Amino acid sequence: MKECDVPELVDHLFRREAGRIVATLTRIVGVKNLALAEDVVQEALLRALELWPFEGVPDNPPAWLIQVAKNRALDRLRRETSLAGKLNAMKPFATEQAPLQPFDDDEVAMLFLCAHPALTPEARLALTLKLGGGFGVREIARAFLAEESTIAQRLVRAKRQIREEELKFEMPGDSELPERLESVLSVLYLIFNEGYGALREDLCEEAIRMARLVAGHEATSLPSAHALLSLFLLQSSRFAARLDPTGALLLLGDQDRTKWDRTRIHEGLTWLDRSAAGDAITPYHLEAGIAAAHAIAPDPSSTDWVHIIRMYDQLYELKPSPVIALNRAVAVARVDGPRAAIEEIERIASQPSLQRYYLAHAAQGALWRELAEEDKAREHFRLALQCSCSEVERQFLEQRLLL
Amino acid sequence: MQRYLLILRSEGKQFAELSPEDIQGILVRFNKWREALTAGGHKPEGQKLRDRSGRVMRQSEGKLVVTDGPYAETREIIGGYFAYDADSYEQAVELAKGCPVLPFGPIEIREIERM
Repeated sequence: MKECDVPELVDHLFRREAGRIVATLTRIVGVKNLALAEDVVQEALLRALELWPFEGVPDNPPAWLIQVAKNRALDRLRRETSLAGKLNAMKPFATEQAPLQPFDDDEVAMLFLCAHPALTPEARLALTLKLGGGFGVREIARAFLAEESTIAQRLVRAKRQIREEELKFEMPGDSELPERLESVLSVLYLIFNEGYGALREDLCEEAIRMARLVAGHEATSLPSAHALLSLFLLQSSRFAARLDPTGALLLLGDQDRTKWDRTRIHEGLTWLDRSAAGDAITPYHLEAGIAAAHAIAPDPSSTDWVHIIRMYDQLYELKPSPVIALNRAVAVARVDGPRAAIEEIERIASQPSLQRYYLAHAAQGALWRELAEEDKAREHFRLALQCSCSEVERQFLEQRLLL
Repeated sequence: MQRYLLILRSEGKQFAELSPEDIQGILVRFNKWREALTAGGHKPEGQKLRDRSGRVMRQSEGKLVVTDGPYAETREIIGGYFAYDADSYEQAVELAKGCPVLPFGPIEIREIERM
């Protein structure tokens, strides 16, 4: 037993390796054997749990895991009953170079499979986290505030659909690529947003990891993917500044900007530059542009709000949604004052999606407070509290009511 | 200073649902536990014991009986033994509290008696 020279396990190593190994094995054994690939990876991880506490962590944990998973897969395939089936099943491993290594190609192909347009949007999310991200059923359920049994069923159904409809594990052809890529990107966008709203950094980091794969892969290194990665990096640069020492939520204007992650911002701006290479402007470009405008402002008062409003206008044209109109109105407050912003919000406030959206009421509460209209401010914070929001958001709103 | 033997047992069925992150978490806690024992001068050592195996031998009325077991049926994950130095049973138990296998199965502690 090794004593002191145990290598540290990199954070989330198992989660990441699970996704990589499942993808590589799926390529080799075929998508019809997806369940086998998943099973043997779980077995390899459990084997590590059996041995490593006693034997110590091997020098190269990923190589150890993929070797064990591959051996288990071969064992299973050898147990195939028919000789023809056996020979067929073994063949792919025979042509595989040794030692087996996961490739980014496999992971990107897996993301395309998980986000296949034939699947329901909910199934795409769950599959991407499970197969692409190595998340467990309980972890996915927690991320989407769903019952574990619901997620488990959703995964079973989606995998059955993959099998029955013989969905392919491969990079889509050129003609399909734009639509299929958008499907992948929108899944990643939803995962990131879910994580960002719920202060679940692990979800955001996973979305960033997957976005890096897509943005860096030669077939999918396209402006929309670059813009999405830029958006994620810029947004995530503020993680360390979002909460005060007591754990309470801090608004953008109240954050200590020295806590913003400069490396992330720099990286995000670089990807934003790259995303401008083509003619296409996607909503991701504009959202990243808005995030960049905040990221480069040394303090709230030097933020280029006029530019931000212009980008919201463009964004609204591409994606007319009341939430975007609301965000635009908040930016208007910084240029034309709170009253102008309130008028804008009141024009859209009757939209059902905004009536249930806590930020719509919270924004109005904050704007009325700026105008020293305390009764109206409190009324809106109370309305906000009646909408669904996270625990930390609820505390934030209650704090506003006490002020 | 006495030496204590820990026998770790845990049944496999609880492990099927663990996510990769859960599994890594247990391994990391195991490493920390072992490192802390080493740092504290408790000289830990341990081995995994093969699961679904074992033999029990008994001699009765001059006849030797060998049976499979004692754990032939269940798959054990983190089934094995550890040994470390401690001043007393009290300290041995205290040190074992940090062992991450505890939520999954019992730990039996025996003091190794020396002449």
